[in-house]
Amino acid sequence: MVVLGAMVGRLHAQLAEPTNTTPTLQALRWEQSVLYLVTSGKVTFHTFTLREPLRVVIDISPCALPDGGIALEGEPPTAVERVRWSQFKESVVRIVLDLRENARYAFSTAASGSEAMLVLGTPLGAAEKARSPAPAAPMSSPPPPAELVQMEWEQDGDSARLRMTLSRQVAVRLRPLKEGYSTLLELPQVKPRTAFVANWQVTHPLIEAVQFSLDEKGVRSTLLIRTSRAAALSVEYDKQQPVITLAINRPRNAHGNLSEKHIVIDPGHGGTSKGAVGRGADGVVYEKDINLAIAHRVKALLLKEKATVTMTREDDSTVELYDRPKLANEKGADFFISIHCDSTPTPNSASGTTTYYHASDPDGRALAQAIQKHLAAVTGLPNRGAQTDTAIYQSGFAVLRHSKMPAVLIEVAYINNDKDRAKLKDPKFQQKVAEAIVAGLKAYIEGEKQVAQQQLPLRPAADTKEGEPPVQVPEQL
Amino acid sequence: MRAGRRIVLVGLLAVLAFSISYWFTSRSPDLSRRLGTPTPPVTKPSVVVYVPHFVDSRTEWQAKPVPVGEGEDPLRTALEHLMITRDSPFPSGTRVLRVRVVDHVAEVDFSRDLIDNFHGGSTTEAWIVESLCRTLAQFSDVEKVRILVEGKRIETIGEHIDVSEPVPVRPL
Repeated sequence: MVVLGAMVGRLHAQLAEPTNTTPTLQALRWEQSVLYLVTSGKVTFHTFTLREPLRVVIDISPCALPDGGIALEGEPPTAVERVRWSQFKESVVRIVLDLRENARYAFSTAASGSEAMLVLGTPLGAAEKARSPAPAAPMSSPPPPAELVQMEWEQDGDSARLRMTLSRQVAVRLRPLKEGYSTLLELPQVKPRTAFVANWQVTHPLIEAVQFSLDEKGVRSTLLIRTSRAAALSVEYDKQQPVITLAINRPRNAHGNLSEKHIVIDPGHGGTSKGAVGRGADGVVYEKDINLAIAHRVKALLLKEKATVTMTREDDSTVELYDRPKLANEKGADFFISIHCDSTPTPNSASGTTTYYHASDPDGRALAQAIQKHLAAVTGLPNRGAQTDTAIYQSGFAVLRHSKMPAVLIEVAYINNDKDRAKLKDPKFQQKVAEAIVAGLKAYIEGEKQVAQQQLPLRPAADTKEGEPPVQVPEQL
Repeated sequence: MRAGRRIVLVGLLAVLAFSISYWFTSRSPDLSRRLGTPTPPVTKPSVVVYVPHFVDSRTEWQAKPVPVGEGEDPLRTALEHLMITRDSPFPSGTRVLRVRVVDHVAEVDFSRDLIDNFHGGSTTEAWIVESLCRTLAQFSDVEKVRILVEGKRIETIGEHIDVSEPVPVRPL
């Protein structure tokens, strides 16, 4: 009877509760590298990462902290410096994990919507680090974005350098865009000290346009750089002061003519290595055969241009993975171009053309942008852009990592996509692809077109008056 | 008469017990929480496996929790699940034959299916290695992974990625 009474009582209490009661955070517990979160009702968990310093943020809504507060149970893993939480907004509880080092994490929510767990990977070498106490500290407001204090241009004939002074050092990222020679410099958690002109009229022969933008929240800045030709963009961090320099250079081996260059063409796979296999009503096709067919067409076009060409294989022979870049390095080649077809685990799940470069190699990125620009114009397939080979796998592709010259790996199309495969098998398509590869290479070396070689100071596009001194853009912010 | 009184008495006691318990529980549905006993999670998955998919042209990783049974090795459980889970990039039929961790290197011995049934491109191969690394990165004692096939070292799975040496499981 006691049990029956308790059951009926609890049921009644639950039914009597107003439906709009905000769920409360009931438990926050570490078990090794897993943080369990339990709420009294269905909520939404939203996680994201912040940098400078590195934090994982979990927003729970609608949710409230219980009247008596809540205590963290268990010990956080070494990767976590401390855990903070607060009633961030009226119905949002925010939990912040301050990380010592970058660490992967996984977050999953139970079907009930009232439980979740965050599984944290341990950063490399973290176990050896001294462990500081991790008391639960009251939530403090997130650090304000770094301020962009000043931007100054320096230039000479072959290069331009944009020196950016910040209130504190931040990590930035260069990302090639799909459109032509456009690259985005991403400055997360950075805002200009004061408003300034967003567009500049640029007269350096390498630069077509530079555009600064700030996101709606005013905490993330981006610099869009459009170059007139394939250019090597790199970022240098000053170790002594919070200064970042964006260097825009003419890339390696991008002088003279195509006829003076030595190119190693690498038809992927071969012999016992069939590569990806395309199967359909049209039969079976092996990647190695498509790669070789396109490579021979590229070779013929390059020879027509009087360039020197070496093939890693001329026929259906087996070539070891490392012998491919090794051959290019031994020959002292100017360029290494590997030709492949891609494939995914599920047929017809992806389509398009990708050109990979290694990691953040500026010359490889420039070559990939040039070739991808010309390829995307002729394939009639989705343009998947020039991408770093570390986008999927952290160490990148072996042939690119070991090549000492500007190198790219072209994934012409997806052999396990019916539409892509039909094109790959078409000799006309193969020829168009080969011509685009050569056109891209030629554009990398010789430029897209003759550009004005005026050497004028870089100036804002708007509000520029005659007689103004050479502009530091933005001016003192 | 006596029997009637006894019945009434028992009935009154039952009503009293019901009322007291009802009063306590209905007043405080969160009694356990107020007494400081947090509600334990009902689900306790202990490991996570990572599977990839494309969003636009970018690879996104989905974390899938996997429950670990009594007496099971969490590392082996995770890897075995990774082979068969939906959206796994591993070739069909690939099995984990043996797993051991030596000096922070996880040696994972796969069946020949890893090579024989691999018909993918660079994307699939990169997804295989990266899903393995991401899954192993949750184990704090694992820093690298050595990929073996039927006990033997291999240079590559599909001619794009070098796995002849142990691969770091976390970002360099």
